[in-house]
Amino acid sequence: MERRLKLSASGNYSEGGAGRYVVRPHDLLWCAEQSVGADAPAWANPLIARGGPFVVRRAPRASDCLPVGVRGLARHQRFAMTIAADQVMKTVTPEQCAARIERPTAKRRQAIPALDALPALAATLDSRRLCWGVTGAVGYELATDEASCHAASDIDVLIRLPQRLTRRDAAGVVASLAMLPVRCDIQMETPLGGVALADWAAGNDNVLVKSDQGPFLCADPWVRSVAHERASRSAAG
Amino acid sequence: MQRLSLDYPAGAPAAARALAGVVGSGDLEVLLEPAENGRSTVAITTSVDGVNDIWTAVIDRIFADADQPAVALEINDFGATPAVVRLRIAQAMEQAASGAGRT
Repeated sequence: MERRLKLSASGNYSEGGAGRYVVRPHDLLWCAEQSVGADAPAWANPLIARGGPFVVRRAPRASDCLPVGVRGLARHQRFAMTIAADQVMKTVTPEQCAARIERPTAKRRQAIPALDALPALAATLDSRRLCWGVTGAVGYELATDEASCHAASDIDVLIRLPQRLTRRDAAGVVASLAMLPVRCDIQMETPLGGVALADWAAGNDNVLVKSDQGPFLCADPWVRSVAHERASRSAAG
Repeated sequence: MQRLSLDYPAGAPAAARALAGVVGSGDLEVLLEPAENGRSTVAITTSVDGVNDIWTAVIDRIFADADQPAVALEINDFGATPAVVRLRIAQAMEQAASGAGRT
């Protein structure tokens, strides 16, 4: 039980160590047994009833509730719900998943290229001194030891970037990860929200930012802008 | 993998081609090309099954104005939400209109 668990009102999840007790998007949560709502699909019922794992979603947060999702094995099996923050008993962050890359068995690594490529991914990102974690199916499998990946799974990676990553450096990371035998889907966690590394590296005028208030386009996700304020306001109104 | 094709009445051909979006979970790629006068087409390939009705509703709304430039959109979807779909298509339309689209 993490005593200092708290909800962030700011929506800035880009900090590494300092924000450790803030529940952030992509964190995995385990809770007390939950009652299953009437709208939950059949495949999600056992997961909800046993209390998780739930994946924290980007969505507006009430003072005492967290937006979460339940993941099924199939790609379309995703169910959105909320849970009371005081029900959370355990959290596993993407960074903690990344610390478990030795968990999969040799047999599992042989069957799943994404699991086999994790040490090479870690070497690449660590050499650039990035604060990173694993999300998606791979992160889920690392955290739960349950077979969640399949042979064609890519690796979803999150990099926390409270400070700007230059477009040139972003392109460098993209290029070095392109050498891996498995496709990596990299999201930068910036002060304004999640941005695809490829979007920023491509040098477009605007990048798409995924925030708790919804997605918006902006020129620079490290600078608060009119677009961001507008997105926040329209979500609040 | 599912494919969906839609078409709509439109105005004059768009000024330029454009490309918006990225390959990645929760996002999509939009390739926009000028289409023949008076008709816009939208071809969607999506990794998510069972969402044709949502797609049709979102795209119908974007193309509700028949005076918009005629475009041929090729969309590769990786599970984008309707809000992301709208932003990425708007981004491509804007690039095409300004003639500054990536090629």
